[in-house]
Amino acid sequence: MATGPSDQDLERVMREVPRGAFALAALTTGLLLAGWLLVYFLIFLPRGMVS
Amino acid sequence: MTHARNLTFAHLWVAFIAFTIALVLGVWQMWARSPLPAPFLTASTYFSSVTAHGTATAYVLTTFMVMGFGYYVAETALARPLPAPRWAWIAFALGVAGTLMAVVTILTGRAAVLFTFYPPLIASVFYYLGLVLVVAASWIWCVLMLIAMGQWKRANPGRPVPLAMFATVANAVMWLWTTVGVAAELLFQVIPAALGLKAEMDVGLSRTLFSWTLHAIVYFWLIPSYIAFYTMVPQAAGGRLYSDTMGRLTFVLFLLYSLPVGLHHLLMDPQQSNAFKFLQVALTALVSVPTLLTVFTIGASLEIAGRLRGGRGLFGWIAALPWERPMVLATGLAFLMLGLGGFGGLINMSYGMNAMVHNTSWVTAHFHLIFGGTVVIMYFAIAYAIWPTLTGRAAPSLALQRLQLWLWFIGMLVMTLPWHTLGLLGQWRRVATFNYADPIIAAWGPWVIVSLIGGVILLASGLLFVYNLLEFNVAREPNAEAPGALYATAVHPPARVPATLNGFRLWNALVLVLMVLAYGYPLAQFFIIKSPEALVHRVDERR
Amino acid sequence: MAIAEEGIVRSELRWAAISIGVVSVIMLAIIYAGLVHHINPPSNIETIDPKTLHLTGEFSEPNLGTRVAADGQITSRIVATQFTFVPRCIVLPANRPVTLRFATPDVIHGILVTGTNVNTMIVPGYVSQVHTVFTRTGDLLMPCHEYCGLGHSEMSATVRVVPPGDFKPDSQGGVSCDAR
Repeated sequence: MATGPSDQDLERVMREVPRGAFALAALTTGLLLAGWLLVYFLIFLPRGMVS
Repeated sequence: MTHARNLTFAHLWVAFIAFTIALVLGVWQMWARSPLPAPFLTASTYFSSVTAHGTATAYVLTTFMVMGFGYYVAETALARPLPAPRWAWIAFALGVAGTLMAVVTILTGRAAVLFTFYPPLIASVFYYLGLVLVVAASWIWCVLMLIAMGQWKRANPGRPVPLAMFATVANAVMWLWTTVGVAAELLFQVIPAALGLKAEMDVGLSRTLFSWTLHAIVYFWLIPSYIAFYTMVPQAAGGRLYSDTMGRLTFVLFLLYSLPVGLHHLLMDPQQSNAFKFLQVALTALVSVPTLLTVFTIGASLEIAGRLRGGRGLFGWIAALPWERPMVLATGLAFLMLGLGGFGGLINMSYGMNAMVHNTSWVTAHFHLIFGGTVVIMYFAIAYAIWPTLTGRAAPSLALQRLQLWLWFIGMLVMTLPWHTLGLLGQWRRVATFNYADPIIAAWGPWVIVSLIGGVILLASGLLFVYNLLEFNVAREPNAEAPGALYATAVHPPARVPATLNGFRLWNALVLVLMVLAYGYPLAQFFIIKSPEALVHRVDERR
Repeated sequence: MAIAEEGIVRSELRWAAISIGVVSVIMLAIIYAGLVHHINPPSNIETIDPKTLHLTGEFSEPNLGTRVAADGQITSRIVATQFTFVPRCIVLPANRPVTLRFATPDVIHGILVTGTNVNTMIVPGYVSQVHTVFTRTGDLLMPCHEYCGLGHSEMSATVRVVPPGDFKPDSQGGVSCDAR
């Protein structure tokens, strides 16, 4: 089990973070939105009006 | 640890035993629905099984897991003994008694009403009284959590409550608000009907009261998993929690927005207006925000860990993570299932789009994936993480733990992905046997069998989980770590936090405002428009 | 420290803004579908007494099924009861606005019509109403999709969508499946 990073190491990585998290979150959220829009246009709207 | 050890053991074992039974029932139910002939199958046994499966997973596994893990956090995160342990044991006894009462009633065929109870279908009163006891037990737990946090704050004036406990108490506060809906429905409508005191009931009102509870309850279930994400996963990965402040804010947002959204379960109901349905859809859209924030915050926390281990570039830190550690593996698998399950949820909540999926297998797919998948896989990870400190022994085999987690993930996808398709094809819910002679239905048959295979994999995984826990009892190596070592440190551990992120007074006031806004008229309308009542239909008559 | 807590919080707030943006796109699409494509949940809040609905009025047996009113409005009335639909088969024309109205004298039921957005709960005490336009012809499945008791699995009806030319009301304006 890790005993914890040194201040120096943490300082080093914090120059990059959160670029990777941002990229991952944006990618997954983008896929989510794309999936939703696909269902919206290809399945939902074609099934017709109801009210 | 003073009192928590035995309390946590007791609660978690009840949870996991109920869960294992639920898995067996679930597989049998899927067998019954498939083209393959299943044994013991009648409408009565099927719907009793569905009631038992739902009660065991949605009420027993969850409540006992939340309570047991809560006692663990209260002692280990606050580093002080639990207040009033005798009351914790009284609550446990009440919860077990209630569970047994409900289960016996279901198994004797007197409660085929499903865990969402469909009034005016009314079961034997002992089913509902059993659930009342479980809820009463959980209320005692809520009070104990509030007292524990209050005591710690008085002993540590001005200091921030440790995040794990802050989140646990946020969950307790939210649960007290959540149970009001179902408590009112049971107390004023269902139980009087079950006792024969009322022959009629207002079904629109009961559905609306139940919807108050129905969405927020899933956040009651998922918060322990999110507590693991924020307070255990960064530590397990060898990194730091990106932001303690955002962690607090996330749990506050759940408290606020998990409650005034229940009408999204009634979007297809005729007794509520488009205006309030749309309002609650908008609020539901807001409750997706704390989860989207979590993806980023935990992603950043894992990124710290990955880069510390030498990962470089935009995504290289992902491969560099210590995936051999069960807590890290579970998190990765949980987030994959969160993506798919969250997608399903977004479709469900999209107002008019709900018509495309309501009461089809799509819904079944969604909640099995998001709860059975994302939330429960983290329950496994939590158990594996705390078992060494509970048993005093080190984990005998991490490889078997990883195998169990992988089987759970694979089984969940194999089971739920076909259900999404079947739902869009029109396969509807709560069916004991399908008429596979009908050509439309016959086309579904192969997918139903694929789904069944997924269920069998899940059962195997569930049994392996129990085996993995039992194996600790014969493990040789003593556990070397103190419970506190499980908890993560933030990049900037706060010396102080604002009172609003250290307590719940403001948030309780806001919840009240939101609930009056969102549920005020939707409930009041039943007392204004005189809606005719429906006759009670008892399901517990012996035929 | 390379990044102070303010920087961390700022990055979180930036992500929160993006998240809210994504969710807003979804909400706007929902509003568009509601206003422009007229796809809304069934919410007409109309009460009816479950104990007497089969005796008189709109949902008495002779009035059930598809009827064309004098003004040309096409309405199909169906009673959902443990464990059947009355009538079990209805005929409706394609490419015409139609209205489906449901009521139940007993417990909660619900319906969907396969391949369409027609979906509603049927709650005792209320009339459920769905306006729609069917675009494809054929026999569509309309099962009861909400648990209503032990016979729920067998409860199903058929919606027969016919080309408008084949939709011929009788002298009372009724159209039924048997007439074919």
